[in-house]
Amino acid sequence: MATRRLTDAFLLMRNNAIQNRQILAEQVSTYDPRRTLNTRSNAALADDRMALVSGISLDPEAAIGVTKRLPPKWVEGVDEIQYEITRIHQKMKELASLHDKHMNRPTLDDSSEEEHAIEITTQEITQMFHRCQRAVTGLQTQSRHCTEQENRLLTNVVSSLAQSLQELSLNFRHTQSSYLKRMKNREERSKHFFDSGPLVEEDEDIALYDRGFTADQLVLVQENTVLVEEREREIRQIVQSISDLNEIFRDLAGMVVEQGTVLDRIDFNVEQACVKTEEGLEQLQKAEQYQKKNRKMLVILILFVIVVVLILVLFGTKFR
Amino acid sequence: VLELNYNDKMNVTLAVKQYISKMIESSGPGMKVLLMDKETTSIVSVVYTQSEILQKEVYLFERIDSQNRDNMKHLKAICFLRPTKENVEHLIQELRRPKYSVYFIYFSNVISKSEIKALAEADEQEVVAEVQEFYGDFIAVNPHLFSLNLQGAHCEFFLLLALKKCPMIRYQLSSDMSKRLAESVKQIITKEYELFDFRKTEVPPLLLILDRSDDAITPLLNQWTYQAMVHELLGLNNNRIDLSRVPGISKDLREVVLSAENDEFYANNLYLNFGEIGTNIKNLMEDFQKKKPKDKQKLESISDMKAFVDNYPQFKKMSGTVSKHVTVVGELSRLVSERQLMEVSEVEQELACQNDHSSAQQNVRRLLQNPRLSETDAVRLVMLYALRYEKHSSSILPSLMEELSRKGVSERHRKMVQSVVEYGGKRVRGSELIAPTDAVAITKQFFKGLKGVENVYTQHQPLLHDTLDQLIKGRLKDSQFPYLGPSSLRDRPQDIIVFIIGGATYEEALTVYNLNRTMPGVRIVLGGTAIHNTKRSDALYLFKSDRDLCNINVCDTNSV
Repeated sequence: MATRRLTDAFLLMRNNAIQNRQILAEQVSTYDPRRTLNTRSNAALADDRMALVSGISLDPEAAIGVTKRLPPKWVEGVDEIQYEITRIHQKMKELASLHDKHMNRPTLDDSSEEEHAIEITTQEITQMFHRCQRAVTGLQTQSRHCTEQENRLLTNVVSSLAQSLQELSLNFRHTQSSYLKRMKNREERSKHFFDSGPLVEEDEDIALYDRGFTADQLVLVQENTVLVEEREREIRQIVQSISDLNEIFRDLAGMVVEQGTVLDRIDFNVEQACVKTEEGLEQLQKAEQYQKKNRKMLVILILFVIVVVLILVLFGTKFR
Repeated sequence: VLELNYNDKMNVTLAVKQYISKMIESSGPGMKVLLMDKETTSIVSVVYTQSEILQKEVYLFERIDSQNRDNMKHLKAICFLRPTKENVEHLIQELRRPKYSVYFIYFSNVISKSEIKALAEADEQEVVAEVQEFYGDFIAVNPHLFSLNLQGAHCEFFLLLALKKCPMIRYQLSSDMSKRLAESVKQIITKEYELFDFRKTEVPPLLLILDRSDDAITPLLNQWTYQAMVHELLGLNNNRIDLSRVPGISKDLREVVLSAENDEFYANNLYLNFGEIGTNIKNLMEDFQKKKPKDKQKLESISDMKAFVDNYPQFKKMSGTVSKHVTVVGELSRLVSERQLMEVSEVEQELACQNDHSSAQQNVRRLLQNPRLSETDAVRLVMLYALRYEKHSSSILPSLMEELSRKGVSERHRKMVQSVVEYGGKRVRGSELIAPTDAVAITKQFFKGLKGVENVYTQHQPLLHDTLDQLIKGRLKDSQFPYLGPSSLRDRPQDIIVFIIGGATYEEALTVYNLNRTMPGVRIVLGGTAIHNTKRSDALYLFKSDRDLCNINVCDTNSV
């Protein structure tokens, strides 16, 4: 793609313009007003020239513009949420590597440490999601304290953050469900192993004689049951976190603009904004007119009352 | 089957997207506002959705000409504007009293030195950080189709810059405007030779400038492929469709967007014909129903589906797409049966492609006498007849015109029959649009007739097909399409940019798409001053009396 950079030329011209203004300003300031006939008009002229050339406009609004550099408070909230989002990202990576380690472990006996770590990380991530979602909702409520245009800005920011969070939560959901699948697969495989292991008697004849479990077998059964229970607990937790995420996703859905619809079109939103501004202007104008009308009526009423009072006074003095 | 042969080098959508990404990324991190004018808003909107741009930290979108914008010094401003006098004036006002902290200014076109000086002098607060020219001054409708939305001749060559092509130019001899445009493009390439200093390829690219008047028939025909049909019957305006007048339309669907960039179903179906679309929509719905979790309730009724969607918002997007397409196709279907378009189209195609006058005049008469035939379709049929059998000895045109007035067709519309013949009749045309005179063409026609027509509704091939076919095979006659300048291509062309003065059609876009797909090694991009449907064509013909380029601006300026 071809482009052309005019910045250098522009900056040069801008510097020239600044210098010219300064030179002109100096000329004006060294100008001796005593040497003219009409000092007042020349002073005024000098004032105008100063205003024109020094770049300091006498327009108070511009002055206010310079001092009003502070961004609205909610902007800080935005930075915080964005930071949280990057942290969630990192945590998810950590969790993914923990999952892999846990799944690929060589031995079948479980290191409950790893499981514990996974549990903790999963919980942390879910909590972070909740926090972010609450923060984004909190941001949205700030819209009450904003002007109409700031409101639009805020809505867009909220929409963007909500969308990022939604995508992230979708990712998390996928990670969780694939982990779940892997666990279930592993479970089934190990179940087969156990079923076809020492608990199953290879010799049917011996089974006839030995209806109960030996002590060793009992221990195995117990361990297996414990294992199964733990597994189930893990699975339940993952399912729970997935349903939590669904909730978060749903809550965020209200703040995200539906992609692919006309609401997601820049030109549509610009048109709506123009319409709102025009409507706003109309309202203002109507209100102004209404007020004017009111004022007129008030003045008429007061005058009328004065006239009545004066007439009364007149009659009063006449009959005295 | 999208993007098969679209090398990124000849992809106009990508070109515009790259410009805009660069604008945004160069301004660094922080909250940004995008300041645009009326035209650049459309240019940006067809390639980027709002949610995509929001992810790049552009959180506000404003028009440079909107009044009473708030001061927001915590925002950086990225200005993407056409360098018109009004925009420069607005910018000057803006820079004198800047509302944002920093300004990065990008013009979509060449701006004069004096205007830059004016801006520099206005920048008293020194808020401008960058001033550049980024030549994205066209609407990228499809990756190989662009429209200028009627902005005047000079915009066209900027597409060349966006695609980094310095082409050889061939133009249509029979069209004065075509020659003038070719010369002005050449002038600009010469004047701005540093801009056009691209890496020389083995085979230089080719710019082919054509005139709509050479083929006035194509815009008058009813279409049966998805994108073309939607534009013809409903109207595609920068990929937006107004469905508010559809009976019983739901609130959410009063206006919809059909953009291949963001809609996979549309991307796969926009070139397929009506029958195929129907099947694919049915499959889409069945897929959608399959995705529901198996332990949940059956999706028998609409309310079931709605309940399901409420519970699983991630399927909301898919359901949105499904309901949008079901609605659009449903409305197309309704219009087809209400206006009896299949019958009408059959006769149109016969008029455009066959040679049997007696059959044609019978059919046109028959249709005109049908009370259900709409005014638009009636006028179109007569216009087609007039173009086709202009010089025929037993032309029944006068009686057809009487038929029209008997039907109550307005005078304005009746005048168009005359206008279209003036605009695109035999006298004006350079190419053999209709009656083939040389032996080869006649033989081709004969064999085509023998084979029978695959689909009677889509038998028409726009003239562009033959032109491009000949061009690709190196057989395009110099006598009809001369080169501008002494040099000419020795080999067959590889990269071809076609520009139709007076506008292109979606049927021609389909032709280009198919050629791109079936001819390896050739990449074609098509563009026009606008993209036609019958309404727009009619306006074009009516006002075609003085064929000045500027006058094309009579059509509504907002549409593709």
